[in-house]
Amino acid sequence: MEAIAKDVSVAERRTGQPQIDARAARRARARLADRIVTYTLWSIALALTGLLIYFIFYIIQQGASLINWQFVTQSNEAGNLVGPEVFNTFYILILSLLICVPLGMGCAIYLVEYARQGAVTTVIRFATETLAGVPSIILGLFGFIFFASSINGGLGFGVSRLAGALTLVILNLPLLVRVSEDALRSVPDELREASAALGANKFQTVTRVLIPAAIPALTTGVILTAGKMIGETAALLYTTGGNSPVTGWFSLNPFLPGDTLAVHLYELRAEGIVANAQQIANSTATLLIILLLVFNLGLRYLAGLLNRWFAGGTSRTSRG
Amino acid sequence: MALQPEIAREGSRERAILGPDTVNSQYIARIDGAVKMKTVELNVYYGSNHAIKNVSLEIPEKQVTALMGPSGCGKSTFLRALNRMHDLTPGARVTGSVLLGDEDIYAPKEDVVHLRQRVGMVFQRPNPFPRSIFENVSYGLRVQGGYNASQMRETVEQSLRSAALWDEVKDRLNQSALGLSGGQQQRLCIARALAVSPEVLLMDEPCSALDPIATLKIEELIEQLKQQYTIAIVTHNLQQAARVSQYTGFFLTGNLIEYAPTQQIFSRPQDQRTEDFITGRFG
Amino acid sequence: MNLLQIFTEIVVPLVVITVGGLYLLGGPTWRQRIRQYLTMGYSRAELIRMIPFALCAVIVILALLVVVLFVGGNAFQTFTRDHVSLIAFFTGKVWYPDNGQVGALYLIVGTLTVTVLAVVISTPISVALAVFVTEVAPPWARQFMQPVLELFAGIPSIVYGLLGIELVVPLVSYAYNYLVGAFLYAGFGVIAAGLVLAIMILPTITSISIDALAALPQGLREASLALGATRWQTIRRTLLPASSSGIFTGVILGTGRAVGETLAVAFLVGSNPNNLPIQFTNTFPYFNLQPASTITVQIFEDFKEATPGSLNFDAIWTLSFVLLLISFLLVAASRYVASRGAYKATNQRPSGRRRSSETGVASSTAAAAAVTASALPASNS
Repeated sequence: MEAIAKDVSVAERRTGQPQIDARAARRARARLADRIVTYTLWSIALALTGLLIYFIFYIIQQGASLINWQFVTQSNEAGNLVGPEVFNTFYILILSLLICVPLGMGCAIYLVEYARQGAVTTVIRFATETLAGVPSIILGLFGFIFFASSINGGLGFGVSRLAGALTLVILNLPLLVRVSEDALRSVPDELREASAALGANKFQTVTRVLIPAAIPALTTGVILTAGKMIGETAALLYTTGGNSPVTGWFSLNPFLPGDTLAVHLYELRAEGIVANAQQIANSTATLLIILLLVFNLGLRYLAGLLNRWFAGGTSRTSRG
Repeated sequence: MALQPEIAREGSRERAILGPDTVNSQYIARIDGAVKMKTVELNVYYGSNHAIKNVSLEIPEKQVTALMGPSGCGKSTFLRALNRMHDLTPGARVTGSVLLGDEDIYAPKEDVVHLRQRVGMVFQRPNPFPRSIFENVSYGLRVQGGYNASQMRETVEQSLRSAALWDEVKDRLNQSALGLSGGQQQRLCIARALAVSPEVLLMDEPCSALDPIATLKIEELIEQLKQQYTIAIVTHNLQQAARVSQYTGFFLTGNLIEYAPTQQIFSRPQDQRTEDFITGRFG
Repeated sequence: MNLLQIFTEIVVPLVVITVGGLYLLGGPTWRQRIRQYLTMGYSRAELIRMIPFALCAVIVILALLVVVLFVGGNAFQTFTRDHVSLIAFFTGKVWYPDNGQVGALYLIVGTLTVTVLAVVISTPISVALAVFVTEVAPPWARQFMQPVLELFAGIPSIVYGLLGIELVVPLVSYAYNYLVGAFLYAGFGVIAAGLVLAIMILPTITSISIDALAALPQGLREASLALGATRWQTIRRTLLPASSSGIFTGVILGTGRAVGETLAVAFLVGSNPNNLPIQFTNTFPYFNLQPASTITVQIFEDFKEATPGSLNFDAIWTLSFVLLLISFLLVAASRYVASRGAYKATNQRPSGRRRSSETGVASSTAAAAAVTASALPASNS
């Protein structure tokens, strides 16, 4: 372009050197900037990975000494064994998943398969997103007043495992709806069409084709949700209570109070009721981290295997 | 300079010399007149897939070269090798050389950024940036740096005029480019590529996403642009190749089957497969 | 009269009367319209079979309603029964409920400070990480970063609190005391809390930013590079601006997490509701760090001792309602911002072809949803 040619000559006169060199220098600078940014990005990623590994090793190294079979399965008067907490953690987890997964799946089926886009779906989406944004401490208070207490029209379950599990349901429902939606959307439309073409009505398609086909994708999401539930503290402290009965905790009675590992960890650090509270707290934290690793890496890997195994299952279903 | 065992004059690249007996290349795709770009034994692999097989051809300066063939024949892959867009594709590997003037663009010291300024590209789908029309056209200049506002304005206007878009958009340069029609967007993309004054313009099926009227406009534009630029255009549309180009290459499954002046290839194809393709027997 | 009563005694009857009245008196058009709306064109048999699913959806909506109504229903007694004025509540600097003083100003300031600190620290790192994952990392590194992000998101907040006490608080204390040259500060306060929160919200912002970047058409990258831009120029001038609304959505949702986080902050912030988190002074280094508190921490700490019916109890619910409103605002803002993006990370119905899976970034999957901890604003495609 002539304009540029003109400017080149102007620039040449001004700088006393060919403009073409200036161009090359600029390109070199741009290349240098590109390289610097690339190295910076790599180092940020490396640093964060290092930080994560350091955190995990730090926690495990702090508390590993106390962990043995007796520690995680027994309880005693002194309160320095966490058997009840381990049991409660899984009890509450399973109880809330039993309520939460069908609810979330049902809602997702309604959203994905039945509802027409419009006011209804907007309201449901608004509800899930808003609920997802509610801080867990508020849900803890809500769980106390609505599930545990009987004042002001609460359900009066008492400070109990049930109240805690129901609070976790409210906390994780949005996430499970979302996860189930994704799982359902990952089912190819051909399956729906194939099923409809065979004369199945919508309900049959949903229950016999879509739900089985969505299970593998759902498993991953449920495992991650479970990982979050295990670590939850703020929502549980006032709903399941801060301690467990020393005897009789090995029971399926949902109306017993029962603290989870995470709540127990808080109690140990905040109240320090036990003689060697600090040490037990460290070991409890270690247990939590190990559970996290088991759920996020171990079970996810198993779910991956399951996925592949189920891959044959879905195609069988589509023919049936 | 047809069919001479040359290239020795291009310095130390004897290895690049091809004989007529080389597999896959019946045609050392030579041309008469000035050569702008030239590939020598070009191979492109996607992983284990051999997408371009030993293609050697010359692209004439300030003319339009059309590359045609059925889908999947490798014509787009070939085009993208000409400004090293394959660098972006994970798993893609290129061997052989591509000469721009007399420098090998795949040489280790080659500055890819500079290369892409010299060899511009227009893509199959219009891909304007989600910004104003002005910012789209001036993007290349901003990236290069060293232009003041008035130079940019001037270049933007010239580029838009060259792309026959100026009259349509001069009043709304600051509006989003995404508000333009498909044909206008594609011409904007051409203007954007012209703004950095490339020597070669690669066009990868630039009209395939456009309606017939927009297509016609782009074709008229190509006709004008060849006064100043060397153009290589990939098309699956035979009529388009016949209308706009001076040279035409026919690709099939990664091989360059035939390369000749457009008139010749359409009236007297040398290869049976070319003839089949042109007469519509496959593709 | 509280919110619960307003809802059950006014809103619900009003809706029932309006819809019912329209159905009975509105003539065939309205009847048709309402029926069409309620049945969505399904046959009676299909409608009956769909009841369980619709019920689940209703429960989700009810869950939100009940939360809002119960929190809101208890929120106004501070003003109605305990006669604290609205202005006194929001501008008062003394939080001493047993003494009848519930001034939440310093709590709000504390929440703001901690949140701003966390977001300001976390955003650049998160965006850089997202850019790394989508634009720079080779496939193996991408796959490696996915579980890293999930583990960061999965570490329980109470464990973050412990890590903060043991690793971050001493660091902050050391740095400040080194600056001053004397031992003045134990390290508990907004800086430590903000630093730990920054790590906690990092997975949220990062994974939403990854989704936003992965949703950009490949053509943008190609166009920019074909014009002779370097990768960094492409990122800075094209990709980041084009995905800005998605990234901003992530920042807002991260803000929401930071505002609502309780336990980690409770361990680190010092839990003193009557201090400003940072006080500016005339002597070097011109600021004092001191233990402070936030809305969530004060709710959490006070609820232990509060007896129903006391001012303490009522004030906690008022604080909760304020927090609820803030989180609603943030969700609404994130929805608004997400809806303005030119390229959306939607999950479209035609399944099996997801953009992010095409680019090899395992995201917008269940995993990413879990990482973000809050459902992404799924736009109605």
